[in-house]
Amino acid sequence: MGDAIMKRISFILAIVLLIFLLGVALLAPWLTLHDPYEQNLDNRFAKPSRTYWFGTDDLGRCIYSRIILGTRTSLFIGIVVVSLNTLIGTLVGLVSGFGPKVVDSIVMGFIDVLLALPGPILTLAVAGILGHGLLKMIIALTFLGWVSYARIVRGMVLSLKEREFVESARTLGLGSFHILFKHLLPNCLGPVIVLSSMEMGGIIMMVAGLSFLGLGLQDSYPEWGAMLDQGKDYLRTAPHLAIFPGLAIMVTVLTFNLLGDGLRDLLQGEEATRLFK
Amino acid sequence: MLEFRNVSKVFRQGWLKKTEIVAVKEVSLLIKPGKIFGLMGESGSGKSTLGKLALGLLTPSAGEVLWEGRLRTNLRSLPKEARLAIQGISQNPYGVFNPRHRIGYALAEPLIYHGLLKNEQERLLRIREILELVNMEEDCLRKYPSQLSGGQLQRLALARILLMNPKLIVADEPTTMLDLTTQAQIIHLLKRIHEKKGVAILFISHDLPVVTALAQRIGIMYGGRLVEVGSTQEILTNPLHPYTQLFLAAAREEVVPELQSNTNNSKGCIYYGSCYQSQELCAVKTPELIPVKREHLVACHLVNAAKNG
Repeated sequence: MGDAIMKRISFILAIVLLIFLLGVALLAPWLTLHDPYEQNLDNRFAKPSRTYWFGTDDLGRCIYSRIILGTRTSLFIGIVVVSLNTLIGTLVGLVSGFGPKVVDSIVMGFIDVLLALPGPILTLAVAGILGHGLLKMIIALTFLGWVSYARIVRGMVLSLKEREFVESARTLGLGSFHILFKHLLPNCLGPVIVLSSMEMGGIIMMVAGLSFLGLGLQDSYPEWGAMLDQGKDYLRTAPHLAIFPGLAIMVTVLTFNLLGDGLRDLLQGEEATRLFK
Repeated sequence: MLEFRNVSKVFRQGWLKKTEIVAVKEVSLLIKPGKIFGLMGESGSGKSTLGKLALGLLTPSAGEVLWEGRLRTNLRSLPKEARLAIQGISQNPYGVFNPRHRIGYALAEPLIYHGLLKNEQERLLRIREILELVNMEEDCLRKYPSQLSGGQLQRLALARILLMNPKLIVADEPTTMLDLTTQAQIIHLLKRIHEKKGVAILFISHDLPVVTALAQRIGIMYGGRLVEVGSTQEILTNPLHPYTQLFLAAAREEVVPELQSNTNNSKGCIYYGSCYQSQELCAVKTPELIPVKREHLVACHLVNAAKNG
């Protein structure tokens, strides 16, 4: 009983936080206190104060304003990457599960090879080879990201296509394409939505991680991971440089994880709990 | 109408060590238009497989399934009308409808897909007409399958295939998962549809009273083979094949000897191991399905010998 109430509270909290984050991202230009790019070398490492809520960084830029603008970056990349992963993964999974056995074997073989490689390191390697830039970062994160969607959707299609309603759709003369998109896909969407929201946190973390390692966007662009990277050098003298972007990352990742948990319970009940545990 | 010509279906399993399961073996059968044919046999005798072969859900490993003289193996090559002429209802009405679609959509979907009734008003009119035929209220159209009972779903499954104007309905144990009163309703409904629309029915079941109440002709299957075919009257009063006799005795709840395991003997009679009067010939030669009277066919050496001698 207490467990159920806790679950409900955390799901509501996740939704509130999500609305808050989306609001911040949308209204970012009006929420900033200072120009996030403006350097003020006379006022470096300023402690949090009334004018600079989260203090200033090593170049005297307003950390609060940069975090606000950074919300856009993180959410934008997260949403784009998760959408791409979902789209590619779902399509590959549908084709693999529903298509001829040969196609399934080839696709699954390929996926098994990809999964045999250490994921984050491979992503790092791809990001390292491609270099800086928004588009390149998105490519690096999509490179492996679609695989888990493909596996889940394929598995679901394999079990769904044995179900009787698919058989009866066939005797009613409905074509394969129609059955695939009208009958199988809608029944796969629940777990896919849950997975997307759970992946979102991981992607945002990965974006921060890549930027932290200097594989992210351009230096001056406000991005939480890059800010953390700059802050780490001054952890002893001016910890607020790292603490605030760190908190921003934590809150965002937590939001999406809680959201994923809540959606899982809500959408799928026991079946999905088994799938994702 | 629908004709099976020497149809066999073998399922192969395994990759390194192949195992073969013979579900249907060399079955020849003609199902006549506008008649109800009852197909009986124990579980695993291949009657459901035969139904799926008729529906085109499975392709025969050997032999031919013909519909009005045309091969039904490649459904795509058939004209739409011939493709949709055979429709089926199954034993599990809960699984027949996509859980994510409302009944209204589920009923209209095949009509829309095949472009049968393009006008929405016409479509609704036709659906209403069919709903009335199967005794369902119109408000079920807005419901999801999970909100309806097994009997209601089975009637709706029937409604959906009737919208396709089938000439033959393959009813594969349509009542097994329903309670007794609902069973009676469905049987009654099938009979009424048969009388009203003149649609032929291949009724697959192991429930003897139900089959005898419905069918004009009966076929008995054992071990994938058709062992006896005849009119309901004839089969009931004059069963000739030893297995049919046993089957009928069991259905009348008489004590029957336990059957020996099916010795997958490809040479001799399929029933050789269990038959109480088997002879040497039965072990080496498969009996053919031969007419003993008009429209009464039996696959048994003894019966043939008695007839000839």
